[in-house]
Parts: sequence; C-alpha cells; structure tokens
Amino acid sequence: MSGWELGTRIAIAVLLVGSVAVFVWFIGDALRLFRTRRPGKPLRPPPDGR
Amino acid sequence: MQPLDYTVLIAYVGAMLGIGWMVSRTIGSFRDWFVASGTMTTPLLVCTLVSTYYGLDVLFGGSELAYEEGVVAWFWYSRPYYFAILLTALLLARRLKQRDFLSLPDIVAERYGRGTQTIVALASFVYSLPLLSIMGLGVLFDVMLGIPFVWGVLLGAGVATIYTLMGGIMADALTDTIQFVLMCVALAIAAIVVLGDTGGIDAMRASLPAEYFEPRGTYPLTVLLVYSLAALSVLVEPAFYQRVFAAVSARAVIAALLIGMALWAAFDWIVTVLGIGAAAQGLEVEGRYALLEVVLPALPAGLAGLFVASVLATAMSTIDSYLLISGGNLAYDLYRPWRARDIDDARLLRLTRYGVVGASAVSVLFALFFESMVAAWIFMATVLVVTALIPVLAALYVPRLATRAAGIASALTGLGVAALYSALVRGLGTHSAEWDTTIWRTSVLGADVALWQEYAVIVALPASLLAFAIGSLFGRRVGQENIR
Repeated sequence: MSGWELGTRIAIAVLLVGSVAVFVWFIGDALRLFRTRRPGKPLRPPPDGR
Repeated sequence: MQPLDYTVLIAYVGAMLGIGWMVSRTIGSFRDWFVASGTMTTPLLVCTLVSTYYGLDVLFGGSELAYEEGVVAWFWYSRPYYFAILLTALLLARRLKQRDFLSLPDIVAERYGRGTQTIVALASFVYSLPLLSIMGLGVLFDVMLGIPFVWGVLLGAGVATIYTLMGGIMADALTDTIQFVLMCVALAIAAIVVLGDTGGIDAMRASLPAEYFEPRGTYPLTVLLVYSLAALSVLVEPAFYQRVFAAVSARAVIAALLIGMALWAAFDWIVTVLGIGAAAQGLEVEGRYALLEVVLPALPAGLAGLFVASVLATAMSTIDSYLLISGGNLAYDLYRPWRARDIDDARLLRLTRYGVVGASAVSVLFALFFESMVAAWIFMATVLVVTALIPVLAALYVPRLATRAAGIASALTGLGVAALYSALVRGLGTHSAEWDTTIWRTSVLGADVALWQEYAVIVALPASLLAFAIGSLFGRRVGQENIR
C-alpha cells in the first residue's frame, strides 16, 4: 500500500471516528452547558474616539 | 435523486429550522445572541469551528483546484491553514480570552479609537460576507435540481437568511453540531464509495499525469506563496474571534483548535481525493461542479440525499455564522460607536438582525459578480489580511507602539495599496485563459514580470507594516480612560 493510499484511509477514519466521538462528547456535555448558562451582561459604552 | 433522497433532504432542513427556532426562544440579550455569554465548551467549539470554517468554498473550491491541478490543492491551498491555526491556538487564544471583547473590531477600538475600528469593521464585513457558500448553493441547485445558477443563489440566500434571523450564535452552534457530523460522515462514505469505484488512489495515479501528484503542481512559486499567505487570515478570522469570546475558557478554545486541525486536515484531503477522482474518471465538467459530478452518480438512493443534505449543511453552517458576524459589524461595530453610543440592548439586537438581511443582499450581488470561487476567496482574504492583521497583532503584542496614527495609517495603507494594485492589474492586465485570472505583464528595472491580480497581499502587507512603523513614531496612544 502506498503512502497516498494509507493517508487517504487514515483521513477517512479520522472523519468517521473523530466526528462521531466529538458529537458523543458534546451530548454528554450539553446538559452541563445549559445548567451553567448565565444571563447576558449589560453592554459597555463604545470608545469615544478622542 | 429518488423520493427517498428528497425525504432525507426535507427532514434535514426541517430539523435545522426546528432546532434554531427552539434555541432562539432562550435568547435574553445581545450578549446571549452574539457570543452566548461565554458558555461554549470544547466539543461544541469543535463542532462549530470545523463546520463554520468549512463552507462550500472548501468543498467546491478545493475540489475544483484538485480536479484541475491535483494534490497541490491540499499541500498549498489547505495545509498552510493548519500552521496558522496552530499559531493561533498557541499564541492568540489566551491573550484574547483575557479581555472582555465581543468582536474583532473591539480589539482595535481599544488601542486606536473609532477610526481604525471602522476601517477594520468594514474589512471584517467584506470578508465575512458568505458569498462563497451562497455561490456554492447556486451550484448545488443547478446540478441537483436544474435551477439556473442565479435563481439558486437567490433561493439559497433567502432560506439561509431566514434561518439565521431565527437564532443567535448558540442556535448557530447547536445546529452546527448536527451539520458537523453530517458533513464529516457523508464525505467519508462518499470517499469510500468513489475510491471503490475507481480502484483506489493508486489506480488514479496510474491513469493521470504525474503532475497531479506533485505537491507543487504546475503553479509558479509566487502564486503558491499567495495561497499560503491567505492562511494568515486565520490570525484575524472574525468567526474564530467570535468563538473565542463565546468560549467558556482559553483552554477550551486551544483544545478545540487542536482537535479541529486533525479533522480539517482529513476533510481537506478527502475533498482533494474526490476532485482528483473526477479527473481520473475523465469527467469533462466545470471545475466547481467536479465533486458533485463524481460523487452523486456513485451513491445509492438515500445516501445521495444524505450527501446533498451534508453539502447543504456545509453551506448553511457557514452562511448563518458569517451573516451573524457581518450583521454585527454593521450594527455593533459601525453604527453603534458613531450614532448610538448608549443604544439599548433590544434595539441593538434588532439592528443587528437588519444588518444580517443587508449582508445577505450584498452577498448575493458579490456571488453573481465572481465567476471563480478561488478568485473570490483570495479577494476576501486579501482585504481582511492587509487591513486588520498588523493593527490587531500590534494591539495585542506591542501595545506601547500602538498609537492612533499607527492604527489608521496601517489599516488605510494596506487597504489602499491592495485596491490600487488590483485596479492597476485589472485595468492594464489581460485575462489568462491558462490560469483563469488577470495578469499584467510589464517591465520592472529592465526585467519582465507577470503581476497576477492575486499578488495584492504581497505588496500591501509590507506597506501596512511600514505605515504602522511610521505612525507609531509620530502618533499618540489612545489612553485607557478613552477605552469604551
């Protein structure tokens, strides 16, 4: 198997396994995310430009 | 496409709109809407960074280049970005997270005042217009449904704008998670099928000219340098900055960028392989259509719909994110500092939504103007880099040199030189059919030179740096008391 072929197979594996793993991680994290949401802080005034 | 494919497609669009609608109901303030009040964790950041950065410019532009030139698409069009992303993760993330910014122009406003803030906001606005993805939707509708390109652009932009208006960045990020999985998995499946049909990449090598697998391809080195310099846009990438400000911590951003790098590299490589696959099959198509033409006929019913949904996901995840930023540029970074310093939260939110509509309309006009996706990508990256890179990095790393004059001089000079260069090349040059770009062939100090329109960044960036250096000698610093 050439380096091109090997690289391509690795890329496919990274896409399939990596994306699903991150998504599962996100699901596990989602409840905590919503629990820790804070109400928005007030806006700061803009620079006065002087 | 079969009825099953249409069902998958409609289900996807319905799910996105449903999620967007539900999340939009939880938004209580502009800060909630614009930066999720700094609550995004690593996995959410990975999903939204990967899917936002990767629009149809990568999918169709990358495969267009691979179809025409080969692996140079990955080595010189994509790979430089990984170095820039690594640099960003290691150098910028912590520094940005130390301050309470909401947008990229906020950073220059702090050091240089409203003038530079306005110029950088305009550059950010131009860069953030999601015209490449809107253009890609036009291609998709053309290839899939036979809708003319112009009408496809209008339809795609209309749908995406409505979707964007429904929710802020949290709705955007949550829909990004599904779009992220969809685009990664569908692309991987498409690669497996197409590689199976063509006998693998080694069979492609046997059937194509050797240049296709030459990392430098046939491009002149200067053009490859310009492609690489476009990666500098990552250092002032508004979508990245917005996600840093939305992140729960700098550590979460760094982890997300490093994980994202692996996924981006894999995604780019597969897009490149599929573009080369179209060439290996001997398809005679317009470059930007190559990916769809090679993938769709190879997929069975259901999977074809899934793939088209993933292409829509790639477009929508980018369009909604960048419309949000460009709308914010108009309302938060341009209108508010000059006309409404004490604007209330609800009005700012409403104005930003108007800005999103305006940005969408301008994107459609640009999408119809540029014929090549690669040309449009280079133009937008150039505008941002030559205007914002020097002032932003100086504000973050050498604040003692960051005077008001230095900021304005640097931003204006970068933009002006790039505009002048582009005007000269377009006015005096001729279109090259071989390279599909405008080239001005002239003589400098007795030597013949070919000035491509893409070279603007090479000329304008040093000019911006020089102007900054001069301005820092003569200008005065904006005092901390004037900040916001």
